[in-house]
Amino acid sequence: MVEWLAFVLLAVIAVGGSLGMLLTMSMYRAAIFLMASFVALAGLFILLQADLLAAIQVMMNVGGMLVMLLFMVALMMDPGGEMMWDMKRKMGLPGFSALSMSMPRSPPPAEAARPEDRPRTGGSNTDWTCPMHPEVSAPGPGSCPKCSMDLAPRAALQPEAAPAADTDTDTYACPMHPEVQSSAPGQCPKCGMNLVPREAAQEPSATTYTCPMHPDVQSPTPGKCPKCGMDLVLQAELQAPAPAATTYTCPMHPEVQSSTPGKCPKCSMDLVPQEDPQAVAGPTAYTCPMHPEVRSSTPGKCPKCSMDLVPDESAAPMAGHAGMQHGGEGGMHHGGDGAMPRMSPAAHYKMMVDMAMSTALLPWAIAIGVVSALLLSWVLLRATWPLSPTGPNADDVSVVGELLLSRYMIGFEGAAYLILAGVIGAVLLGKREHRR
Amino acid sequence: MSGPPLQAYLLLGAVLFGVGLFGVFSQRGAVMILMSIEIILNAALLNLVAFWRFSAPAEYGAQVFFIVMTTIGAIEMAVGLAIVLMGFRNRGSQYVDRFMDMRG
Amino acid sequence: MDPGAALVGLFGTLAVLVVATWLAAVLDGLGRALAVHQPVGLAALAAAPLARLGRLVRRADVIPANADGGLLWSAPVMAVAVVLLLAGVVPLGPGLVIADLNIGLFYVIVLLAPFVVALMNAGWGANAKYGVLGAFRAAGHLLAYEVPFGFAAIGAPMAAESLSLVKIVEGQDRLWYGVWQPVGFAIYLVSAAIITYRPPFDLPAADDLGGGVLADVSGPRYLLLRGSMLALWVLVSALGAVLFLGGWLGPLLPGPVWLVLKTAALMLAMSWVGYRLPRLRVDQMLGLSWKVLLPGTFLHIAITGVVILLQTGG
Repeated sequence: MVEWLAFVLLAVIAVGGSLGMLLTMSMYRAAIFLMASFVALAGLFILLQADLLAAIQVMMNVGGMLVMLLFMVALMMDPGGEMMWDMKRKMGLPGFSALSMSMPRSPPPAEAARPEDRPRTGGSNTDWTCPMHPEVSAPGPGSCPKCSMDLAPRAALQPEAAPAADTDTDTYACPMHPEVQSSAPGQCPKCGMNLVPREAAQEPSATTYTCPMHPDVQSPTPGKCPKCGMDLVLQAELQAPAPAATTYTCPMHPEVQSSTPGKCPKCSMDLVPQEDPQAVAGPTAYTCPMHPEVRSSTPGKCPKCSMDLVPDESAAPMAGHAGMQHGGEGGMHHGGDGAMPRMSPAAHYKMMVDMAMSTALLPWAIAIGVVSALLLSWVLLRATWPLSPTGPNADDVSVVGELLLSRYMIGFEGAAYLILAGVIGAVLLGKREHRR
Repeated sequence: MSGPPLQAYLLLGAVLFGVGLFGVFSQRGAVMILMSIEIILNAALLNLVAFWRFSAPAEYGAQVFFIVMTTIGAIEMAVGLAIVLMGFRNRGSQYVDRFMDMRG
Repeated sequence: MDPGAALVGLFGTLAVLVVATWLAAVLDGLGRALAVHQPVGLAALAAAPLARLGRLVRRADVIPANADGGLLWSAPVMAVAVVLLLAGVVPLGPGLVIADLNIGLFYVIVLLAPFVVALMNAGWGANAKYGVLGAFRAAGHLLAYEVPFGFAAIGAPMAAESLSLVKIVEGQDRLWYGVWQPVGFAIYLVSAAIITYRPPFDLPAADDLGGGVLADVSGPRYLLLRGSMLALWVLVSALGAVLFLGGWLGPLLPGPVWLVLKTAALMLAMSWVGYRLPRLRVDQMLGLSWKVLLPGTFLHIAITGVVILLQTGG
């Protein structure tokens, strides 16, 4: 009777731990769940009178799961799962726990032209491409679908295809007004300074990248600002007047507003265009989704429930855009109404693709798991297995030691050490691709 | 022999195998996939130990086999993590959907 | 198993562990006082841990905002469970052991890892910088000591031809193993200091991290975690006495008294030497472990193997 109780308890912990690992959003907890599951398996081995194997199971798996935990914390953006849990709660994503963060299974409906589709000032910059895959062409910044590197304007990558004014050594420009260019020395028509050759001028060329928040950071290649981690953008674009009403905001932090696409400084998610017409001047009123009587002119937290204040759409002056807004969010599930700024399906799609924890095969995976478990159970349970009349003899465990020390095992262990040495060598000595 | 029969352990092993398979197909992060593979391996080893106990308890080679398989599992995790680490160094992400270069 | 006997065994073990923890705190204070040449009365030393216990029990248990409650709660439970399971294997006398497993030493080595996981849970679950840093330093400790500890301790089973702790003690009736395995004994003591976070290896719960894994722990939870760290120190020292100093063997006095004396001597020595040395950084500790202790254990295994082969005539 005690054995049945122990078996049921350990079996529940084993299966529950494994399922919990797959359903939790926190990666640390996932590793701890799996550790608990394996320790429950060790308990089952003790029930099966294989004490040595139980000890080996605990030793290998606690250490192994600890290593997995360390890797996950190193490689993931959100190992504690807080950001994703927050997102699920605020946006009311359907699904149980981590299953809600799954890859969207169909692309969003096609939309009218978005701000980043508009041609930039400077015709050579409409075509963004991947440095490794020049056949990729996109109307705006993003990630290469083949290798997920950041796209860059084709002009920056193929200077010879760009208009000759970019890298021509004969070009002269004004140090104060870089857009003033001439093929001969002279005076700048705007300020009267002598025009200087491109290389001597300190003004940015078409391939200089700078940080929207720190203009003194300049770099010839795209990358991240060393001060704040935001993506560097072409300086030519910053100085050119941006198209009106293209404010970018973070889906999680609506108070973050930027006139250029990039990454949110708080959570490093990609900024999405905000269709809110108030974004041109910035929202003028903020309110709490749960307490509409709370109003503020600055973003912050509600004093009653400490939720983030969101822009107050009821003060929107342009009724004409309201139709587009409602049409845009028709497909979204509203759990916390108004807790997040309304995002177009495209932005929501992009965010889910970024953040997803499960692949698009999720329903198939569930089906495969259930069907395989049922099939295996049927195969294993319907067969009649030969059963030994006696149990194991507790004094024979030393046989295991003798078997382990036989010459075959030593050869096997030697092979294992060689493999490990190869792995360590590969990791330590392998060439790293030079990151941009 | 009182206590759960062989079939109880086999059923539990089958269920764990299904959970592991679900994890392998549904997870996006490479490290999570490796952990699901570990679940599958342990389900098979549970089957092994159950059969040892109920069908051939005098055959201690089964325990040696368990030790060998667990060691292989640990080495496999090491190799898998090395691959994930190199991929992360080159691609900046551990998500398997970023590594689709060879897709048609 | 008789449930009554099991309960008696459980509570008896708990009582012994509590007394042992108090003794450990006293010896810790004594070692520190001796190390810094500070005169201190024995009565004050004996009373200090009790006063601390009284304060901690009454103190509120402050939990930081956004902390992971499950992990925080699991940490002291796991730590105490590990300590209880370990205490069941240490033999106090010829028949005085709760469970004489024939994989005794291996069982001890296996159980040391979940203790580290418990401390890591306490650090990570606090959802604060110092806790997380302390948690990863504790993981570094685990990686550093696991192999040297195991290899240093393996000399005793090699000589006794058994992993059972009772048989290891019985094998030392002619000569203690620590006498002819000095390298292994020394490495064992250093590894024991690393695994129980004794100075100079006390980084994960150190003051420069504001307490590290214990930074956001207070009140009864702090009592349980600190207490289990001290209890682990006692158990590992007792294990050292069993493996290298002959356990309960000795003339005149009864076995358990000898074991207690030997354990106390080891603890005092570790404490005194530890407090005299400056605290080691993480990379220094890791370097010490991989570059000094591990080759030392290879040497120790070689020497021990040669001596055993010579004794048994090849």
